[in-house]
Amino acid sequence: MFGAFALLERSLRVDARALSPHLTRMGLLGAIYFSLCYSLTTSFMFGAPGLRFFQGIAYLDMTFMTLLGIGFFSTSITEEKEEDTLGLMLMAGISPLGIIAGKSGGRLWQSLLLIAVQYPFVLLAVTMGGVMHTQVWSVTVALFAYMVFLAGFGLLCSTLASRSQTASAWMVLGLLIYFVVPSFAATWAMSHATWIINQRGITPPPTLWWRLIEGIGDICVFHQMGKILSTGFHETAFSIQVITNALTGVFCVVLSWLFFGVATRSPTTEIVSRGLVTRSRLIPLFSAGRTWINPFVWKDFYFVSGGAGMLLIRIAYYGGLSLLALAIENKNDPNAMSWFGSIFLLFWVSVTIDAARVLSRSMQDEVRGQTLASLMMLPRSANGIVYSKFAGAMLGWLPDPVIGLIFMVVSPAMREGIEQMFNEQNGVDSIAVFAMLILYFALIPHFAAFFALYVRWGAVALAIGMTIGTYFVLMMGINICILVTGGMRPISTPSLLFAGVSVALLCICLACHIGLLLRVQALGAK
Amino acid sequence: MIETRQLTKRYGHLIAVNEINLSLKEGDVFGFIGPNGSGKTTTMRMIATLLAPDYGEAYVCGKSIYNDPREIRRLVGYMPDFFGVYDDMTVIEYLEFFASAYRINGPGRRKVCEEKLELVDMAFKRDAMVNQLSRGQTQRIGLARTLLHEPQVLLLDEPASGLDPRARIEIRNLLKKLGELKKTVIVSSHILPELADVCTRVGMIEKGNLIVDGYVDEVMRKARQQIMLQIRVKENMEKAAALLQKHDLVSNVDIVKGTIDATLKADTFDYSSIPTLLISEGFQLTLFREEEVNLETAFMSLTKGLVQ
Repeated sequence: MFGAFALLERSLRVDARALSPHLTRMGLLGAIYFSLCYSLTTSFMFGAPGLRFFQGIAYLDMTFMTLLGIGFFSTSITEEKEEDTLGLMLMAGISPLGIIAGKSGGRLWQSLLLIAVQYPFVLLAVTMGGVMHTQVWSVTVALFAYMVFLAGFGLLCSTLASRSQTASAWMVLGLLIYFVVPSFAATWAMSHATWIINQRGITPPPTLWWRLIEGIGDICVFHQMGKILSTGFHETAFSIQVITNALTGVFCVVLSWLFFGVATRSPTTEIVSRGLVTRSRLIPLFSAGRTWINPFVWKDFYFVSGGAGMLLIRIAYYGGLSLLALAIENKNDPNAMSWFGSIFLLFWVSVTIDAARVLSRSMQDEVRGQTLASLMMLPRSANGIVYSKFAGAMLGWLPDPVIGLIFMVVSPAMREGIEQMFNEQNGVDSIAVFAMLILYFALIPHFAAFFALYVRWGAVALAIGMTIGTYFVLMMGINICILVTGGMRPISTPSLLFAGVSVALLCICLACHIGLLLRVQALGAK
Repeated sequence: MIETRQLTKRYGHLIAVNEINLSLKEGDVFGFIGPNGSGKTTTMRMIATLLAPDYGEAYVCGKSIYNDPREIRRLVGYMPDFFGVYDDMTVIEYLEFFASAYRINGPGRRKVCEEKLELVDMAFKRDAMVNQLSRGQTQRIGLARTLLHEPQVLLLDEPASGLDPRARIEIRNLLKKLGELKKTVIVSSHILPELADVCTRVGMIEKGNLIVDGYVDEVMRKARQQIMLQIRVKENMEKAAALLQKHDLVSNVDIVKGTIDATLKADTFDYSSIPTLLISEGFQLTLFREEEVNLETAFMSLTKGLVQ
């Protein structure tokens, strides 16, 4: 039995000895410390600093776990398949259970440690006020269960898929269902109940179907955290979400174990997916065609951002979102503006994450494929190669911001908001804040491209985490400046502060460019 | 064509390449021999301008690696010992991508790619996905990519490693062909007999130091400090061995597997008196030959097996 866990023991030893996991945990504690300082420095403006601090940490953890989990857990077995080392492990007498425990258990342990290490510090939120101990404990348990679900589901995808990319895609799809279906179920349940109350004037009796639909809403960690963090929470920490998430995770591990032999019997012979880029030229629109004069732009347009096929999908997605927002805007519904704002936020978050994804992939593909040495041998400058690649990747992404800008021009509410921003008395401040926000959004793709040269997976998640960290640090700087200058007056001070932050953000972006080019050259020489 | 002067690279306290001086002419096929970690790849990478030396200078076709790195990259084709390929491309797409990167554009580009595919005998795989090729086929595609821009100088790092015997012979023939085309080639390999066949010059590197550099026959001569004769007689082998032991030119005699191995004294090149003596004493010679010195024996005798 202990032999089965030899690989797990090894992975825990490696984790204990390696510097980077400890640095990651230290970094997380640093982020918590900054978040704590931020909440304290802003407590004179807003109430319940403990609740705000804890909310920030909890949602940050959930986002970070989701984004990092996609790459972290879904590659546990596929990376061995891709390197053809799975057979060697089996030949060495390590059982499938041992491989699963070693590859996935070690990663789960590392991730759980990240949450566990925060626990004593987040308890400070109780002292700061606005949150109770039971809420802290319930959120921690909910996150643990969600982590088990992520690890199990990622392992199953990794066992069944032949390549990491496929496994990650399956995991993204699964998580979309996990987050979207409960949201729809909860929204439908609520609106249906309201409809019945309005129509019949009575509260509907709880039927089986009703309970089932409500139950679907309860399995999502996002909803569960919303419940826990609402005022007057007094339920048990071991909720439906915790039980279903943990059980699903365990069930996925069992399935992986059962299917391990079948799924890993033959070596990785899967034809690499070209996405929507076809090999035949029967449909010229979807074919990569002949190489362009700038081959780097051509390659990254087709093989990183997905070519014309993905371009159409992006147009449909962002066009659809824009049309939906415009339709909602014209509705005479009291919640219309709230929905409009949510869609607008979703739109720009998607645009940013898409940019971060394509840019990080543009770099990561070269690192993983060990092709940088061949590129650096070309009679072209490293800058030229890197920026041509980025141009190709961003060419496919271009519909995102273009549709966004068209939407902002067409939407009356947006036009009104922009006009107000330029006409109001403190318009300069609003413009400074707007510029700062754009730079924050721009920071994510910069970090993502940079980190893609250092980490094997999770560059986008890391970029988002780093951007949030940068936000906390810079905002805390602003708050300290405001405190030192004795409030928001004179009027020019906020604009200056925001302009200062914008300059700092620009410098970070510039540092990313320099660091990226140096790293590319170093990797090319390896 | 290639000249290095005291080329040096250090990694902390480790001296990976120590003051290497090389001078190769047009058409030279230079075999770079040395154990793993001896500094072959580092030297090649410095010549290829991928790695900056800590000290020394290197010139390719008269261009300095410091002043004209981009020009050198135009003149050099470098194939690393391990190189990645774009898995999601077809063979022809892969070659066209690199051809375009070398600014080979227009209708001629496809022709150039197909010519190179023919040269490496891979035309039948032009529409296959790159990730479906075998190791040997990938190696040949890599070579085709290296040749796309008609480089004057080729730096091939272990081009035959991991290949089956047939693929190795094909690579060897290709190298011969490149030498005939007057290209200057530096090729590193562990398979020494194959280098001897294709190289005009060899260099042996150990612990970052170039300990031997010269034309193949010069190196063999240097390695052969004492000539060894292999002799077989029809009868009375022990008696013949005893007779040879007394000969002035012979320093040592052994009988190994029915053959007399007679090692001559140092600096002895004329040994015509030995067969004459044996025949005059009534021995019937069935074999009389000088032991062949190949690159392997030369490598073993000239190097000390030092690694860093």
